[in-house]
Amino acid sequence: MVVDRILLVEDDQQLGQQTVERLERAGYAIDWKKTADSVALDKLDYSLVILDLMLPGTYGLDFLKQLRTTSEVPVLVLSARNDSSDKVRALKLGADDYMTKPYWPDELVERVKARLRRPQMARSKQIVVGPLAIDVDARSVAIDGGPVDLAPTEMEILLALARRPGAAVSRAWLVENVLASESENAIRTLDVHVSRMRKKLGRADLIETVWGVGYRLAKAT
Amino acid sequence: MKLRTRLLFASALTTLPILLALLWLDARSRQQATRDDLAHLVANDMRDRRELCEADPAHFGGAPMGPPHHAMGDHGPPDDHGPPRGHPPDGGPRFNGIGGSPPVFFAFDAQLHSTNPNAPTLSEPPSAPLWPRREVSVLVDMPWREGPCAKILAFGSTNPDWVGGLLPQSPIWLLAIGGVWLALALTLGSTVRRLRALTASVKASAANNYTGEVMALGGGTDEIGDLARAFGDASATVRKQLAETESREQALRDYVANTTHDVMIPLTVLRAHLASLEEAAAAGTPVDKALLAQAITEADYLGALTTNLGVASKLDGEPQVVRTRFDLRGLIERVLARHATIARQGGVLLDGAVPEEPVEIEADVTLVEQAVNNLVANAIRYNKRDGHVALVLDCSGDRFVITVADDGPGIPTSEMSKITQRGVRGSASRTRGDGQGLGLAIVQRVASLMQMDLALQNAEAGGLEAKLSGRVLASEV
Repeated sequence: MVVDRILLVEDDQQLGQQTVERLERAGYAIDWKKTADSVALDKLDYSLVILDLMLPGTYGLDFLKQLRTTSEVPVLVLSARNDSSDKVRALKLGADDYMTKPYWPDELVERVKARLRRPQMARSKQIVVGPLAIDVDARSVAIDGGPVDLAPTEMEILLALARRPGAAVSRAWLVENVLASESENAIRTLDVHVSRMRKKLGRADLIETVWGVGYRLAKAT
Repeated sequence: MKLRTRLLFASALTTLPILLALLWLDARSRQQATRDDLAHLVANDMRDRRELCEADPAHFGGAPMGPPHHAMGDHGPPDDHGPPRGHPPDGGPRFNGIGGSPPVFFAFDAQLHSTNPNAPTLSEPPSAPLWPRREVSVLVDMPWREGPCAKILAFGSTNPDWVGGLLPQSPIWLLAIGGVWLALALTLGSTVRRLRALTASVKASAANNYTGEVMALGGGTDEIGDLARAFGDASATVRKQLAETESREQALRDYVANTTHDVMIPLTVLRAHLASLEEAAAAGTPVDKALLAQAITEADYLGALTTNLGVASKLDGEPQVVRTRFDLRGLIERVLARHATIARQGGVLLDGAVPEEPVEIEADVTLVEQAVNNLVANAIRYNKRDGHVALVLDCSGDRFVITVADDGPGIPTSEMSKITQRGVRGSASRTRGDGQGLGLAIVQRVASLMQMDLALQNAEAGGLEAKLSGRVLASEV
């Protein structure tokens, strides 16, 4: 498995140390620089750059501008300033994401994951969740290899959930996009559909009910 | 320079030249009149004295003239020839209209020679001097034009002399001038007095930190009254601004005091938790995870509080709004990621959903994110262990709806209408303020700035449901 290399440009000793530890624990290889000047722009070989804006010597946005002339590497900007104009400027200069301090280390890890995962989010034609196998193109479903006969609406609901495994889909979205119904009872109808699907799949835990949101296809384990 | 001195100078400067010019004109005209009278007198007088003159020109005249028959210096009693015309009946020294002294004659021939040893030497007829003097002389040609008395030089004087113009003959003018001066002094005195009173009043008001009014000086309708009123208005404006400044300072003091209070509580709790953890670590006892979670909650609360204070100060007055086009899904995902840890530590299940398609809006991304942050933070903070919080973005037609639902205690109906006002905190279940009750007030303010709708309602199954909705931009082709 290829380990993603991340460049961290952060001048604060403690925050830098913490960030490095967290990201390394999450499985990334970190190269930590305390100043922008010490970064060799011509030899950038990273999957992601995490850049603090308040750096000694160079202003972070100037470094970002410089970096963008030679590299298309995704950049996540960190700043203590929660100001829209700063944010807009950073995004215009080519930053891909912007985080304001204070933040939880977990949040940073989540954002890094999201940034590095994005290119692989292309729709997969085969989705496998535990015993459940969905062939998107053939619109067929199997549990433990045995086919399951789903009604067309049920199939659409399952496909909608399967397109984003692990992410919840709201009832309102399903009602509007799958049931195409505006009836007040539509949500009830949706719940009935899901109940039937669970029965047909023989497993209640494959389609999770998410409190206040809707439904989610369980993550592949 | 004081007002009185200035007035004195100004009047002296303007009146003195006029006075001098008038004096000169007056003296000159009186001298001219005297010369004319003197010439007239000579002509009349010499008709009777020609023979006397021609008989002994060396002794004719040379002394103040009396009646014609003793003009030769004879001081005897007057004879029946009578006095020269114009002579006062009492024989006094004054010739009517000529001057104070009796005239003195000298006889000259046609070549301006006189046989009288006392006569002045004449090279040409005397002319009127530029600056008129009291003495007047005139050379009169006699009608006979020959002999030793062909020309008569006459000396006289004006009366009064040139300063006579200064003092009018009748003192009634002095009364008028005195009256004018009195009126001037009275007016000036009153003006100066009122100006002094005004100055004293302004100084007193200033010394008293403008707490007292500047007196209106009887409400006069003249310029001084206007000036006093202008001072009064200015002083009122100063007082008003001082009061506003004082009130702002008071508000700032209250704000700092409340903020300090709000910040100090979680900081104290955090410090106590850390101290307990340190003690536990020193004693080698295992880490109390619940205590750690509480410490983290306090730290998170402090962060949210500081951010909200900053946002609230930005939203005061004329807020600086930077509108950009962005996808709300990213914002929702960021808020979910941001609160995942704190929710987990509080034992609250936080979940959310966004549509598959982009939901683009044009707004200030920081402000909207802060608003959603506050809704989610509140939902987590006021929830119970094993409670739920859901953050859902839905889009229907050209409207988006961000729903933040929880199964916490909700808000009592009586507080629902004012919960979004600044400084209001829920009393029963939501006892802890998030920066002077800023959280929901910020959401409300952002919603109105961004033309969004905020609806809060208690869900039927319990808990609070907040919906922030607005218009979606048409997707770019």
